[in-house]
Amino acid sequence: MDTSLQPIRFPNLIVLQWNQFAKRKTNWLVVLVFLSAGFFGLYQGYAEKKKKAATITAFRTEKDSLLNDMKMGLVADTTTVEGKRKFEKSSSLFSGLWYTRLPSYKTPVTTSIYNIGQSDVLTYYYLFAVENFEMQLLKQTEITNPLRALAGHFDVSFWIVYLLPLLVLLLTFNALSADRDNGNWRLISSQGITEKQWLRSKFSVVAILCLLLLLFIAVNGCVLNKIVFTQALAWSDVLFFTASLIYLFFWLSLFYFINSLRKTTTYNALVGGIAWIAVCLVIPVAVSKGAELAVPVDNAGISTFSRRPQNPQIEDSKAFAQGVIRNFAATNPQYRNADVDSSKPAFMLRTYHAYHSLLHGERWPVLLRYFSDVEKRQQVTNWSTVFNPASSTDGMLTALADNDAPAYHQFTKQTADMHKGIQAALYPGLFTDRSLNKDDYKNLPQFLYQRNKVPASLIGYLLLLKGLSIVLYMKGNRRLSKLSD
Amino acid sequence: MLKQIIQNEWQLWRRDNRTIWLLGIIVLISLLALVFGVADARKKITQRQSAQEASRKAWLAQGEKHPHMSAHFGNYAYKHPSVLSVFDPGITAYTGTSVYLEPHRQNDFLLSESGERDTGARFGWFTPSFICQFIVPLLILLLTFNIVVSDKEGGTYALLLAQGVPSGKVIYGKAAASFLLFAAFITAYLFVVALVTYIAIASPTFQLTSFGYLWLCYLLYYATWCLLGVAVSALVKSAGASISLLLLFWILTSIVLPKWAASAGENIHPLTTNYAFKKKVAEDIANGLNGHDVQSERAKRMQDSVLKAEGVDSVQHLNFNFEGYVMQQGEEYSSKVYDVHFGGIYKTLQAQRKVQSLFSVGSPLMMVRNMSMAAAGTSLEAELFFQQQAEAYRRSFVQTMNQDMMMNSAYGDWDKYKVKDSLYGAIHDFAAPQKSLNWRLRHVSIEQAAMLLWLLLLLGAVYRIARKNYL
Repeated sequence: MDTSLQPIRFPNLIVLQWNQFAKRKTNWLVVLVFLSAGFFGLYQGYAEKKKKAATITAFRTEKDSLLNDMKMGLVADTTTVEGKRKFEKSSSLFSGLWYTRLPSYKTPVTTSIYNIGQSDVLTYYYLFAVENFEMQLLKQTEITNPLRALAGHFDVSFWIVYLLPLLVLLLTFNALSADRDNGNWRLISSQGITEKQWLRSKFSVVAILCLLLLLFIAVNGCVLNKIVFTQALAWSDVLFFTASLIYLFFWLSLFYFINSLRKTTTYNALVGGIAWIAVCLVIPVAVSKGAELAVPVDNAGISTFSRRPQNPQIEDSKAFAQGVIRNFAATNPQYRNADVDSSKPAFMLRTYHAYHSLLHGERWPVLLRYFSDVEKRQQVTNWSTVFNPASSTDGMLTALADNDAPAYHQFTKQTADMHKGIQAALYPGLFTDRSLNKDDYKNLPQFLYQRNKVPASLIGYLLLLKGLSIVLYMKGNRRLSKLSD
Repeated sequence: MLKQIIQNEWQLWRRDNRTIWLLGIIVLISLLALVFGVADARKKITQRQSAQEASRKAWLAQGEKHPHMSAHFGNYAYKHPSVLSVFDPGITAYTGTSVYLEPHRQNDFLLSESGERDTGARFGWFTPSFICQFIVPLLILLLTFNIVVSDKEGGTYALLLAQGVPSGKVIYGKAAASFLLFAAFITAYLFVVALVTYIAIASPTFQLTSFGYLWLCYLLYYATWCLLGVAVSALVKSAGASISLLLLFWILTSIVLPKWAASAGENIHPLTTNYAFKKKVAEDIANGLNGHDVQSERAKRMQDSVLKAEGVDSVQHLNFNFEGYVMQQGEEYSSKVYDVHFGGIYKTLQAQRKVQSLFSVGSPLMMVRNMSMAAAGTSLEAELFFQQQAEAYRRSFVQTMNQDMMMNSAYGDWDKYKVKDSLYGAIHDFAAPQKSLNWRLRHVSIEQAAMLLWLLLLLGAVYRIARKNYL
């Protein structure tokens, strides 16, 4: 080696590689194709979010207006026929309890523009009256598009988790072998450039490119969020792209390691391709199956909760019906003075509501157990980072977008709290056998969705993935150093 | 000569440990998928059968009450996995597992399995069809990407020509060697699937012709990939270029295109939301399907026409309970409304499905997936048919109850009249019939034609390569 030769500084090497990259039109074509795919993914997230936002607005406006009509009925002019009808509708226990229905809705968070997740198969708005919670819950499901669900979503998460690694593969699989094959390597090494420097500079260019692509999509998403949904940048957006960067760093490290083996172009393409297929397809599907086997879920029992609770004994025996009310009062001491007079017109209504409420006490824990089992499955995937980075990243991104099953369970639990609030507002009238009044309506709760907290596993996931990437990168470096020696 | 080339290729694979490992892994995961699928189906059958039986028992034991209240107690329809759905569950995992059937409303199917899965199931589930559709083609590519090009690079091809072997025979032999291997795999695998599921599930819906069709589909599918692998391997100059091209093609046609097609289908023909759907149904029931036929006026008109037809002046003088009649008429009108709006949803889904069929022309995976679902009875059309059957059952038992109310109870007699227990038993439990294979295959004509076209084009390409000696 000519020792008088000035070694090229690393930043200059990156500039050199960038120029080399920029010279080839096919490279830009590939980048353009991937960027278009990113935009297509962003559009899908945007369209889904817009559809949800529009549905929630229409739903909320209509239901709030109907609820307001009920409230206004109590101050209607009872000297007119119409006013009297309205007053009776609002104050009567029978119609008041039937028509008072409160909406709950899961507002899409900012990050949901980047990830559709499971939001298309789970319900994001409900309407609840005071009757049995589970019966009403299981009668309200969103129409699922099975064709799209079968194919899976083409959103930004898909682009990041499954397509960008392909871009990295395409741009790096022959990072070293191509120069060896075409004989350039002798010339390059004669400039005092080591394989490690050459590879690192090439990978730096690809990393910068990926960063720019991510940034471009992130900025466009933020602009759309701001303009269309009037949502500012949120912490979850920042975490979403931080996790994405760490994930891409994993792929860069993996391909860096494969290149460091100094094998042929064919070998690199084959191993890189198999790695992508294993990480993005085979392992996620296998882990998902493992989670399913580890945590069995039975929904057949739950499905019967949608049946309207009936009990012929209530109709047949007044004593039995009174017993139902007393049981209810025993578990809810605030109604210990509940009216059990069977001669009153609202007696059967009281009995059925007591019965519905008691059933809720039995059914809700079963439903919570079901939710918990489904969430455990997600936890299995989220914690499988070391051998299942693609799927766990996807899981984390879905959690940040508040579009995974746990987020929807959280929404259902908040809706159950709202339902409790409806009962707390209307039951005093029902169980003391008096008409509904303004205070009852004033006590009705106002639903405000609170998104799920950041999953604790996110920190662990980020550390594990980062650690895995560093190990691969260091191993690659060590191999390159050893071979140079 | 051809036989020798085929045997030579097999011998090369047998000698290569990596190939043996890959084939071993495929066989292992295929069997695992089958075992898991059968276990899953058995579990579902047990769970749903017991839920269906419990529902039936509750229906029969609900006690004497007013027929309309009995109807409101309702029934359930559960989907039961079939032998073929173990192989390919298709879209059944996304469409709910059961539906509650009650008067006045057509409920949605509940609790889809996809809502119970983790986010790792983006590309599908670990089922035999997943292995056959996604994984086996990858193995084909791994075995064929250098099947010709390695001979070119290593100089073996020149040696073969020097020995007087025609170049066409080399290409055909290599294509046949790879195809026969995978044809043997799918033949054996489908036979094992049929046998194991038949024994383990003992379903009465076992259809040998459907298995035969599935076998043919996958044979054509694997022939497509084998020919493609051989053609690319013969055309390119290096093994690196061959594997890059083939993997890129697989990713584009098996991963990107299906998602793109589904998203495009939804963008072009958006599906309504449940809120918009229910609002429209409620409006049409209240205001009439034409928007100018208010419910109260409809009822008045109906009353007048009944009184006129029966020649009486009040509903109390009719020889049947007018309330039961009103109940049934209301049911029939709401059914009409549901037919219109559910029909709209079905039309949208079928339009989306058409978009996907057109996209499938560019993707062998989409073709075989749609054909496989059709054969297994787990396609969109089969699902819609099941939903229609459940709805027909709902209407039938509600009508029976309304009829009983109409003929046996008196006007205004809500508290006293009670339906006899025997009537509950007279209403049979729900059992969904299945459409014939012919009917199911009618919906995949584009896919079938496209599959044949692909095959013909690839055969033509291989023939051309062999003749023109691109080697």
